[in-house]
Amino acid sequence: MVADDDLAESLKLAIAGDEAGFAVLWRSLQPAILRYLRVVVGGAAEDVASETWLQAARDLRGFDGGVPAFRAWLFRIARHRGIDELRRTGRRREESTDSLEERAARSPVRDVAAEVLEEMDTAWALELIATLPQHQAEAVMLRVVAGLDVASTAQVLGRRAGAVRVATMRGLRRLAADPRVRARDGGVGSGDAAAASASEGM
Amino acid sequence: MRWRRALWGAMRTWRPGRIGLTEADRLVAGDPPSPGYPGLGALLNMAKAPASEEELAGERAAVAGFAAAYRGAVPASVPRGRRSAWVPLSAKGVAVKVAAGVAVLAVGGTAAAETGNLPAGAQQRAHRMFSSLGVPAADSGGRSTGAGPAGVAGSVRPSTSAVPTPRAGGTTPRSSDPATLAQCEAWDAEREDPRGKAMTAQAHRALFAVAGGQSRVPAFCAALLTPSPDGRPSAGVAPAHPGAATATPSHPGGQGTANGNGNGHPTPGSHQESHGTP
Repeated sequence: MVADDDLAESLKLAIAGDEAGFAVLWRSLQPAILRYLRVVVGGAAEDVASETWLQAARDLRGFDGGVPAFRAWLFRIARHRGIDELRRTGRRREESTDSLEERAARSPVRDVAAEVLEEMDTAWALELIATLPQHQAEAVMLRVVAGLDVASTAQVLGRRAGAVRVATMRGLRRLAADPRVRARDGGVGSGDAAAASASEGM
Repeated sequence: MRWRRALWGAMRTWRPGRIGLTEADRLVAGDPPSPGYPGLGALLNMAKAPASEEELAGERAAVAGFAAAYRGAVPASVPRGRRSAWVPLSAKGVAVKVAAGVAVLAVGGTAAAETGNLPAGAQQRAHRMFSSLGVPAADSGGRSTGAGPAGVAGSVRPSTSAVPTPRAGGTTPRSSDPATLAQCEAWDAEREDPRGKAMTAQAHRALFAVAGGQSRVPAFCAALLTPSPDGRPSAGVAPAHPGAATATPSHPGGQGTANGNGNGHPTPGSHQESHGTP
């Protein structure tokens, strides 16, 4: 993941309309946006993420702030787009239409087995997080995966900072108690591999 | 009574303990969890694993969308007329590449996957995004392969086709159709305010049909509703660098909501502004 200092330059460029700058922002934030939306709207995540970026692009000219503010701003757009989607479809989450097995079977042969496994791991983790009560799931995703601080998360969710901390804690508690999570301990190869880069923060 | 409390206390100390605020903060910061929570660290690491190829497959489409949407964010004072022409050169570059990609997809469905140029996800997404254009395969192929100065001039058309603007389809007079525009506006209004006046099911179906499916409506309408500044020089005189776009006075203070002070919809003002232009 790109450090905030490097992103700051790209953000400036993107605000001025530069596509290369925008591309850097997109590469750096799209995975987290997509995963967050995966938890919020399930199978519609990719479409909602596209809408999120379109709206951000439309309004970027007037943006006046640093990288942390931009990140919070972008996730707030994503959240509103996601809520719109849920209202429109009238359900909490649209389940992904294809199972992990189908996706694995479809993925090109050239994919390294490890990468497929890792994708499946990530999808599995997101599915579990999505089973949490919505505000806990969102808090966990924004804090842990998107790397937002408490204040930014509170801003995105429209809640108080204290409520965000509690929601995150309760979400983690539930996950820790989930038998599927407990059973998963140890047998994870890619999780360990991911730990090094993940701990640098997304 | 007392023994019960003692037993309860013992159970509490015996259990690994529920995660408290401090432990939660540690976990969020990426510290490994205490031994009492098997699997939790692994789960969180999976959730924030590095980006996969598939997650990043839509970059080109996203950048093309950025170019179009950003262009649409020009202040409302810019007169809106013929929707055409002014595209930054670098956008054309991207657009030509995207158009070439579309041609590849259109000509040989599986070719791209076989040559490994596009991951499967990207191929699907590109197909979904662009198949509403109705660009004849041979036609767009011929345009996008044009090279040299003539190629640049010729690329103006395909470049507009890189964003999902239906008018570029050539086969479709529908974008100039005020009814479609109105449908898009109604659809957009409905999205903004689901409790407002709803579209009829028939209107929905009509719009889905024109856009080429429900999932294509957002991109279709975004392209249609995004006003593009006209009265701008077209291709030949277009600014050589996208930076030139900044010559347009951006209104830094104009969108306080854009800067995140936690109120409702992210940027209601600018959103409407870009749509409400006469």
